[in-house]
Formats: sequence, C-alpha cells, structure tokens
Amino acid sequence: MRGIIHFGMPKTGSSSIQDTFHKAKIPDFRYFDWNGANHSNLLAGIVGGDNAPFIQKMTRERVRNRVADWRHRFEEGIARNPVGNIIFSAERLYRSSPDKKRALKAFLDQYCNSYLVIGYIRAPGSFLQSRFQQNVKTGLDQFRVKRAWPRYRHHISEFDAIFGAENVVVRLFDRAHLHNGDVVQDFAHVIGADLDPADIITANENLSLEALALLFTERVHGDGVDRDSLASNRQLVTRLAAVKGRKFSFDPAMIDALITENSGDIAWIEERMGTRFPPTDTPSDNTIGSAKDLFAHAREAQPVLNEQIMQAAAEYTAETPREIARFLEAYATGSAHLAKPRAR
Amino acid sequence: MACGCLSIKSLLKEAGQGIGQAFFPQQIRGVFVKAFVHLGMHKTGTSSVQASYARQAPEGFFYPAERGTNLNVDARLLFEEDETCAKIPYVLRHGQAALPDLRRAAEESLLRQLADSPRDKVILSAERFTYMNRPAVERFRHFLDRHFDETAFFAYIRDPLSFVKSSFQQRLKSGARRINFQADYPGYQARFEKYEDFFGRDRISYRLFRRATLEGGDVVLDLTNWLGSSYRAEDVQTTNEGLSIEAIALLYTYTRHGPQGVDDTPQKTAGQRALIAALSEFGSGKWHLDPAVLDGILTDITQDCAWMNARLDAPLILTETETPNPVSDRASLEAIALRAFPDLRDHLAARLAGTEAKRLPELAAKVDFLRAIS
Repeated sequence: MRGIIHFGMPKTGSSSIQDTFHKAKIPDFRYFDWNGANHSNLLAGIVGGDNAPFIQKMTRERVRNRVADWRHRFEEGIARNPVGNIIFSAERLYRSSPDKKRALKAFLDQYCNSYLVIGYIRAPGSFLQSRFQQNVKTGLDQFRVKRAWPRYRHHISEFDAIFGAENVVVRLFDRAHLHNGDVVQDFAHVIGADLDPADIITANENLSLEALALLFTERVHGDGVDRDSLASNRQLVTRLAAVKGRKFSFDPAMIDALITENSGDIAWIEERMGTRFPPTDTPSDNTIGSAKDLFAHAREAQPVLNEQIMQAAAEYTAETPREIARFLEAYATGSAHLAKPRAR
Repeated sequence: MACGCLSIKSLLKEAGQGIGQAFFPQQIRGVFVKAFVHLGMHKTGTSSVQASYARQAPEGFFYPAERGTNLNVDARLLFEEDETCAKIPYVLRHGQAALPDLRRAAEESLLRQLADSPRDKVILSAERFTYMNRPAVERFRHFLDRHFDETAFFAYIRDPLSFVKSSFQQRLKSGARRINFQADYPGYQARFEKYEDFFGRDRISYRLFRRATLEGGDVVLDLTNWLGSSYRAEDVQTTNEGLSIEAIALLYTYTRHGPQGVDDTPQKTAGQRALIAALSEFGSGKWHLDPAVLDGILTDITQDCAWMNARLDAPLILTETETPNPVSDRASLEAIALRAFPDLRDHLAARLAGTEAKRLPELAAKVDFLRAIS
C-alpha cells in the first residue's frame, strides 16, 4: 500500500483538501478515518505532541486508548476493503520535529511499502499574512511576524532526509501553477485520484481587515482564547469571517526586509520547486505594519461590530432558563468592562 | 453593651464651663432638642425620604448625614449586639476587633453633628429601627432620653399584599435564590409594638403609604408636611425604583441559573449593576400573587393586619387585582422570563451596541460579548 502524506504547508488550502478527501469516495484510495478531516490531532496521538488541543483536554491514558481504538477500527477497515493508497493529511507535520516525522513514518511503515509526500509552498509575503491571520484566529495576542517565517529549507529538507527526496513533491501554491487553478484538483491530479470536481468542498474563512482588526484587539485587550473558550472562539471566527470588508495586507517594506534577510532560504525553495515565487502584492492604502495600525482599523470598524452584535442577538434563542442566564452573564461581563477598564 | 457615654444636653449645659467647648468648640445652641424618629418601614419610599433629606433637610430641621443618607449602620453600632454588628460590611472591612472603636466613632459622629447643628428639631431615619429587637429599642430609648427633650415617631404603613410583593421583588433584586413569601410578610406588630411599649402608644403616629393619598403623590412631600414643615418638589430625590415583573423574572433566572448571578450583598459588581440598570428600563408588566399562594398569606397575616387596622384611619387592603402574570413559585417566574427574553435580548443588544467603546479594552469587551452570544 502506498502512503500519501500531505503536510500542508499551512495556509495552502489544506482544509479544502482534507474536507474533500474525508467525504469523497474514490476507488483505491482511503482517507484515514479519524474524528475529523484534519489529522493533526491523530498525528499528535501517534507521535506525541503535548500542545495539541485534544491532548491538553485529556489524560495520556485516554489519548492512548483513543488512538488504539482508532487503530483497531482502521486495521479492521483495510482488512475488509484493501486499497492501494492511504491518505494522511496534517499541516502540523510541516513544523513537526524530525523525530516526530520519523515516528510517523515508523508507524506507517507497518502498513505502507512506498510513499508520496506532497506539500504546497506559499510565497513568503502571502504566507506571513495568512499565517498571522490564522494565528490571531487561534489566539495570538502580539504583533509578531518575523518568527512566523516558514523556514522552507529547514522543514522540507527533513522530509527529503526521512522519506527520500525522490518521494517528496513540493508545488507552488499559486493559481497559475495549479491543475485547473485549484489546489484540491491539483492534489488529486498529482496523487492520481479520480476526483469528481463536484465533490470539492471549499473551506474559506479569510477575514477582512475590519474583522481581523477587531479580533486582534480582542486578543490583546479582551479575554483572549483559553482551553475553555475554544468552541466559542470558533463560533466568533466563523461569524467574523462573514463580515465583508477590505483586504488585509502587510506593509510591503516590512515583508521586503524579511525577504532580504531570508534570501538564501527563498533561493533554495525556488530551486527545489523548479519555479520562482510570484512578485509581492502591490501595496494598497490599508497596509499593516504594526499593532497600532490594526487598533486604528478596529476603532473604525465599531459600526461593523455593532451590526454583528445585533445580528447575533437576534439569532440567539433561549429555550431554557440556563440559556437566558448565559446571555445575561455575557451582558453583565461585557457591560462591566465597558464601565471600567480592565487591568492586564 | 455600653452606649452613650456622652450627653448633648449635659454637654450643652456645661459648655460655658469648658467641657462642651472642648468637645464641641464650634457652636453653642439652645438646650431644648426634639427628635422626630422616622421608623422607615421598607417599601414605603424610605430611601427617597433619606436621600432627599440628606441633600436638603426640611426647613427648620436638622438631618444628620455625615456618615450616609440614613442611620441604618449607626443604629446597629449604637444599639445592637456584637453578633449583629459583626455582619455589617463596614465592620467586616475593619475586623471584629475594631468594633468598640467603630461604635464610639459612630456615637461621636452623631453627637457632634447634633451639637453642631443650629436646629433644635432633628430627624432620625433608618429602616433598621423597625428591625431592632426589644433590648436594642430599650437602648435606643435611653439614648433618646439622654440626648433629647422630646421624641415623636412616624411610620408609613404599606398595605400587606402590596408590601409582600414589593419586598419579594426587592429580595430577588438583591440576589435571593429561594422563593419564600413568608420572608416578605409585613410583620406590623413585631415592627412597631415594641416602640409603643417603650415610648407609649400616643407617641407613635402611623399613616398609610398609598400614593393617591400622599401629599402631592410623594412621600417626601407628605412626610415633611406631616412634620409641620414644607419641601420643594424639585428637591425630592427619587431612588430605589422598582423593576417590572419581566425584569424581576429575568433577574431571578440569572441568579438561579447563571454562573455568578446577583450577589446577595450590597457590594455588587460593575456588571451586576449594569445589568440591573438595563433591566430597570425594561418591561412594564404588573403581577399578582397566585390565588393559592394568596389564600395562604391572608390566613397567616389576619391577626397582624387586625392589630395594624386598629391604629389606622382606613382599613388595609387585602385584595389583589388580577394581571396576566400570576406568580407562585420558581416555575411561574421562569415562564415569565422565557416569554420576555426575546424582547430583553434585543433591548440589551441595542444598549450594548449603542454604547460607544472609546478605549480598546471596551472595544474588546464588545467583541467578547459577541463571542459569548454567537
């Protein structure tokens, strides 16, 4: 059986690939049947990864049992319906340590006798923008860009060393280079899967500049995200993703400085891909170079926020006294802060 | 308990010999001092009277307000037992060991105010007076006898069912989780008989608290008139406004089912105060006691009402007007809350959205509210 390992990289349409292949029935292909389409948690369960949210929520014993149950079901499944290809997809793998990448291979070696490791590579400017946005969605409360540099050579070299460079395919994440201009179709094309385009699921939760600015302000000056607020945070992000507005982009001068600083890394990945990155976006009037810039946009976006509050309230239904209490608690908490600034 | 080691009358008389001048150096006034004691029955506009008088005393009267708008805490400190005083938040803040000093400070403050006042007619007002036990009332009598030449008592009497309902609402507003109407009985005899026993029936005056019969429909104007003075309507402070039944039901639901609810202490959080303020603008519904509950209450209070009726010009009202909102128990309140919620939800959202966040933490709080209701 051939193991197809999709490692992202992050912010290259991974959710669409995962959701599509999780649902689609494709002859001779099997997608690892985990709780969700994204195997990042499964990866953490297999190779260990204390930072994975689902591991933080349970004991090590429960994690082991969960993975053992999954493995039992998986082995029963492939015994009943043998296939030639098994797909594993986790963008967390991109930044995983060599030990963890090795541990995954050792695990898959029990079932697979060959591999196709595939990842899409996004240009640094748009990657950093998208990554920042993603990090704010999950709780980032600092304007931190430099540390998010993708370190192409560092991570891709690890895949090359562990799986063999001849088995590792890296493709430029750019509409002009993708099969039919679509990353899901491109992925299907590269792995040789007969995917019906009608089965493609598009997962797009890009935030407008206004939504991102409001969310970042919440991260810095509000309650932020903790273990207990993961679910409500997802709801908030989904709601804000529906807010239409201007496109968010970083200050080109800031990105150019980072590109210059990492020119060796860029040369290496362009050589590895066999193509060059497209040029950085043309600057607009709304580029962001600091937290202060984002806060200024957040202040301007208050009418947008007010609309969302009214809309969310209208959609809030209370069938039980407890649900009433939850709404009133939210009001009391919000009003308290409106009445008095919080000390942080 | 020792109380009242100082005497205004004696100090004033001795002022010329130096003691009074040493202790009350600012002013010497006439010796004859009359106390008008307002026995503030809860739910009879007492807070409004106190807030108004603290700001502007009636013409010819002195109203001590150095330590607050009423003497509730001072009455406890001056006349009640240690274990009762220990529950006062003011005492809790200072620690039990400080109680003797706090008692003395309360007494000195009150006496200094009285001595400094140019008036010889003094109004003393506290809801607490009606809750004090007999030993405390006896100490109060000693205090009044020592410091005043004459004392008269005034009390407004609210009709019993109206009182029960208002008291019930107040308890829910203050964070009560259990519905127990017995805690809201007016207890007329228990409140006032002790004063009649210690001071004489003829020194206690009662008047019905019915808005329609009050001077200008206002208790502040009415009481001032009753005391023989006058008051400008524009000086009246309106306080302690009631909540609609919808607001009460929602507040109760919040206290009962929320993670935090409303504290049953005076120290509410900013959020709780904001919620109560928002609820005070919401709803208009009246309510009535469910007939089954009403029958039980009337049976329980018959004797007490007879005692009170014997002291009033007109009989107490013992009937209810039916409304769409009968209340008997937790379920009936929660049903009202569920019916009212959609309107409240829109009201609160509009209030929050309509409040401009001027600082970033405020803006973040609005986003957090959005998250909480999404």
